[in-house]
Amino acid sequence: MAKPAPGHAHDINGLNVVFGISAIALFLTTVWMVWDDYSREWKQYQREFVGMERSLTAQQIQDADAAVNQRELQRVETELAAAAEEVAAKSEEIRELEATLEGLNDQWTLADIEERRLKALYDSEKFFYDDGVAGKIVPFGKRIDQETFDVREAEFFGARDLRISTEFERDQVQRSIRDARARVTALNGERDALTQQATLLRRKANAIAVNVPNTFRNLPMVDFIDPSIEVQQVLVQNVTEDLNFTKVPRIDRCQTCHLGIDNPDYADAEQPFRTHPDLDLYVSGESKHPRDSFGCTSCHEGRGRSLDFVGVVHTPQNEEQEHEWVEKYDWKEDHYWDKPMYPNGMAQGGCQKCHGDQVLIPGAEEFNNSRQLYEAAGCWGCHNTVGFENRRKVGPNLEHVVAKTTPEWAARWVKDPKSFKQSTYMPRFWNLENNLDEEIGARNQTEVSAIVAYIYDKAKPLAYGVVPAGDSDRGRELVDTVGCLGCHVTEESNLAEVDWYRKRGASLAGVGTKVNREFLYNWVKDPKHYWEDTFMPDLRLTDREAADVTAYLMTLRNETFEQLPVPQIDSGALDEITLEFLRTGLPAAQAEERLGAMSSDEKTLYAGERLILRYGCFGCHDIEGFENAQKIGVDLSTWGSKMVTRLDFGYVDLPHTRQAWLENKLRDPRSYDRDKVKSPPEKLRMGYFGFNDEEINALTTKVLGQTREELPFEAQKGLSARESYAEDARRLIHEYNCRGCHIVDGFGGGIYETEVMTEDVGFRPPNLNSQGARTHAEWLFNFLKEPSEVRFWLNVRMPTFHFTDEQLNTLVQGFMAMDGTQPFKSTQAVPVDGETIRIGSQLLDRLQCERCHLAGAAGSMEASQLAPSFRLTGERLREDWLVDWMKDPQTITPGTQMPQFWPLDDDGNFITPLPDVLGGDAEAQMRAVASYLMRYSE
Amino acid sequence: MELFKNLINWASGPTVLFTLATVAFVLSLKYTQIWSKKVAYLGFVVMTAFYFLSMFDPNFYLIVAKPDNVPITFVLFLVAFFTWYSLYQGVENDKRIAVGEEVLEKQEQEKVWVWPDLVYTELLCMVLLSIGLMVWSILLDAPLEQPANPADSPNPSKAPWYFLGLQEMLVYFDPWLAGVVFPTLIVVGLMVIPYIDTNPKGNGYFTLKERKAEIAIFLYGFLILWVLLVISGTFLRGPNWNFFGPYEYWDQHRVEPLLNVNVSDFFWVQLLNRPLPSNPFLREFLGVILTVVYVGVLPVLMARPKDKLPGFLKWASLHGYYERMGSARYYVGVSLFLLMMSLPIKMYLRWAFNLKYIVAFPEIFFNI
Repeated sequence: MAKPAPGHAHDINGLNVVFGISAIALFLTTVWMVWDDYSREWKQYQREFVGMERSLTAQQIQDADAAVNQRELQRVETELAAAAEEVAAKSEEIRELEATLEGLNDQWTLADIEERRLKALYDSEKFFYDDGVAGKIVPFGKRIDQETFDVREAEFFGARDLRISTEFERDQVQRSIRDARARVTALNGERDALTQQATLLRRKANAIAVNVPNTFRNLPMVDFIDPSIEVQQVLVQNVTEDLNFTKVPRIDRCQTCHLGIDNPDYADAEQPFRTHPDLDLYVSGESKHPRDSFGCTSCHEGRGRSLDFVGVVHTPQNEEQEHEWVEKYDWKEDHYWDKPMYPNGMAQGGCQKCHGDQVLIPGAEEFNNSRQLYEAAGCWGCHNTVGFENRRKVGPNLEHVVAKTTPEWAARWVKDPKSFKQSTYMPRFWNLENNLDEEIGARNQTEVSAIVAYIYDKAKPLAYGVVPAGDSDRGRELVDTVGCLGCHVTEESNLAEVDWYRKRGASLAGVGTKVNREFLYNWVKDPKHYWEDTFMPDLRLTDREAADVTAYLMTLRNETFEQLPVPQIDSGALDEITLEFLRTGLPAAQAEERLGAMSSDEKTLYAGERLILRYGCFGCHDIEGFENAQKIGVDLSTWGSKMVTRLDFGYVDLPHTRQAWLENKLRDPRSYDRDKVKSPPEKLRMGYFGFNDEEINALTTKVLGQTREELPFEAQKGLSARESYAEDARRLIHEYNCRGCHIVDGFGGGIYETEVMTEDVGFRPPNLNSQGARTHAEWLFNFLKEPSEVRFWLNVRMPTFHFTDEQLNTLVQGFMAMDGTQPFKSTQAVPVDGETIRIGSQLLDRLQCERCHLAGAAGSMEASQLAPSFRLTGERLREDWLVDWMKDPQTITPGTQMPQFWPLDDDGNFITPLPDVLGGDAEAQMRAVASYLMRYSE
Repeated sequence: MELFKNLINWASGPTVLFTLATVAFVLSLKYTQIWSKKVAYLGFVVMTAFYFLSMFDPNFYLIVAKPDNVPITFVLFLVAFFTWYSLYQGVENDKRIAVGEEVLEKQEQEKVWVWPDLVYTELLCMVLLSIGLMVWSILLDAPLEQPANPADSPNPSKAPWYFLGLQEMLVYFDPWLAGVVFPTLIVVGLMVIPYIDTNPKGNGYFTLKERKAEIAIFLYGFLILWVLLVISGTFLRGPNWNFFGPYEYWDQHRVEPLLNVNVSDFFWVQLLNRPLPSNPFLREFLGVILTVVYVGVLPVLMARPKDKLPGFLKWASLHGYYERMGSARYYVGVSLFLLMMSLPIKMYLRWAFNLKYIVAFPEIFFNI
């Protein structure tokens, strides 16, 4: 810069240059700022979407135009032309009427003004007149005497009459005009109705068309006034955001970008425009979870207020997607939001926030599966979990294990359960990453042996008598047919294809290697003798049947397993382990002294007890001495809200997210010990379950959904009294695995896939659809308590579950509640006469019902053609249900062979095959049959 | 490269960094020729290069590029610039005074025009600042976090950057001292400066030589005991308030031993090998004596002339100041100075001996 001129501190010309440059820079920065706002991510998406809407609407208009009934339109237009001519003929008359109407309108206007003027005066004067009459002090000049008031009143009502009479006259003239044009108006309406769809679409197309007003309102700098590109948000009153000190309604702005979410036309569009995959259940106004009441983040989580891809905390499904997102959206983990969105496919974890009480949540199959796995794998045995309190432990009671199997088998099994059977959920605790056999020598073996020794030491033997010899071939047939396969498999070669419900009982593969004959014989006869709380029912096997079944099952052996070495105690390792435990409470010298004083057996039992406490065996098994032991794992009830910073990732290279941590933990539970120096008691001890990717995904879904979030009561699924009855029953149905054999609520029927029942579907146990409406409460109660024969040709037996009265009532009430009926119903309200009964009997013959509904002796008929005898009907079935059944058997039991004798015609009326009976009234015929059946006797 | 990073990490540890900074500070006031333009250019280039090259280190980038921390980088450069500028001007003036010339400020005009000289430059500043703020707001998102969660305080929990010096003091002193007494004394101390500083030199012009003690004391308090603590608090204090070098990853799980002990422990347990007396006054007598000596006896001793002091204290004599300032100004000034110096003293005691408190009365929440 040049030297400043005299009297100045700066060179002004130089400053001018600086100012010029800064002004340009400021201008450019301002342009940049406006552009930065104009080109925000979501605005781009909205522009793109409007383009898609335009072409879609154009297409829809074409379709709508093509769909218009042209012949009908033609007709309407012709008639319209004719009608228009008629009107034209009367045009003189109409014009006159219109002139009259105009005059009347003017009159009315004047009359109305006059009436209102007088009403104002009248109202005011009435007030002061009333005051005067009541003797109050009236302001000067306001007092009204009666005479003046009466005059005013007459004036006002006169004016009102004039207005009303004008109105009356005007209406008449108007009606005349309308009548003259009535036909044209009606036809116009018809024409509009025909083209309504296209008209609406045109209106929409117009609103989003590229034109000057639409472009102008979205221009930069003016787009704050009334833009069509704007944030789309929903304010959800019921679902709140917990700000820790207060709760505020959620505001979800997801639809700002996910513009096609509620529009089924975008089912195949690219994200973010794609339609929600299940509009029947979510988002749409008619669904159970409309967007306006639930928003989006209540299920999906994420930061609903944010407007950019990273800010809403999208979570990638896998690494591949992560790379894609990083590339496309500059995606990164957001540490400043505790509730990241569930990755695609895991959103169902959120269902449990509101539907936790339900055994199976309708429409949430993925979640149901994940919760069933969580339950079956016994995760809650070590990890306290809300919703799993007071459950029976998943593993068998070990109180009498000595009567069941040998300690050698038990030691091999405990060391590596999956070497015995693939399907087990018993985890492996040894020979894992942080305690490999080859690294820590005999220690693993010794630990296993000590634990087994302790359990056997506490176990109480049972006295069994002599077991009769059985025939294994007959036994095999029994196992295949009598119903064992509803809950058990006998081989594990194709586990993946086996129905889930059939895997709920322990797999019987290798059972001959595991148990001894005496136990097995007594167990199949009466499981409760060994374990009071077992879910295994009693199939009422005779002694001979039990012997046959035992003989067969004992042939199922696992020879590879039998060859495995039995873990042995190594005295050095035992001393080491014992000393470690002693040292936790004693100084070194005293611990050594105590150790020296212990016999080898004492050491074993002491170490065994402490090891059981460390590994938490009692989480799944009842073991004497551990009745009150605390679960060893962390509480998972709110794990989904756990801070990522509180998770120890050790030296494992993983994305720092809950999801990644959990998936890795399930895959490789000890990996967070990698490269760490730890003494045995400090080591991680979660067992290895051998979960596959699908299972890991399911468990992650479940656990991530277990959050601290408390949704307001209004937002939750509250169960009505009736629904609670049904849920209580569903819990029992689930626990006792009724679905292993029956279909309940549309799920189950695991046993249907067995060989016998695929060959002839008639051997399948019945579908329990409409069970509550079908049977009498009394009969159902007694049947569940002590099953009696209904379908004589079935080999599969309804087991005796030894339910308590409380459980039986729960089931009966629950079945009734599921079908919306009550336990007791009055018998037929309409008195039945002998004639009806006679007709019913006649119909039964004519329809040949008893060809299939046999009382016994199937003869040459196949099982699928057989039906229960009518002898039981009155005692067992409800009359109303019988009519429903005759009306539509396929809906109640899909696939049944029962013919629909009274089919429906196109208008939904029943067609009778016998028009000569009861005047051809199908409904009355069905009633007659039902009435007869209720009184049926041979 | 790793070696260099490791070296920098080591040098950023509290002890080394603080000592290096103090030594550099003392040297820079002794060898004033370093306050030259050349050194300034060099310093700027080195600092910028250090920053630029370090940005390639992911851990360095992670912390420095946090939107919260960006202003601290500005602070770093701005403080360096203004310190240099004042001292450079001071040194220049000192040279002129030495040869009997007028100081630089005398050559400037006394009066300028409101328009255009003042208003025009103000407008320019406004325009340039607007550009700066707009660009900043476009490029860096506001560092907003999620709603506060009482169940999960952030780790590290940091005060706003301008309070990080105070927060650093909390490491060494009890909250009532670091959070109440010291901040109050800082404000009061700054207010009384005009009343205890009677040196008339340096009015209206920069100088170093004529006000060396005053400048040294102020700059030590400001640069070393405040700005340095702010910067290290921002960039070097990580989770659990542990120290992390600029190239180290802030590992939540890193563990530092916390074995701090009190003077009473030193005296009773380590020296006399016996348990602490149950009487708190007996227990703490040594600490109380030390404190009383430091705040009560030391100023009095330091006021005495050199020849009346025992040999080991001769260097600390401030008799000249006592004479010049008068007893009231002297005692106020020295007390404030000693309190200021208690911070580095306590810091070094902590680093050297893991000293926690000199006086500890947890019974009444009174700890020094």
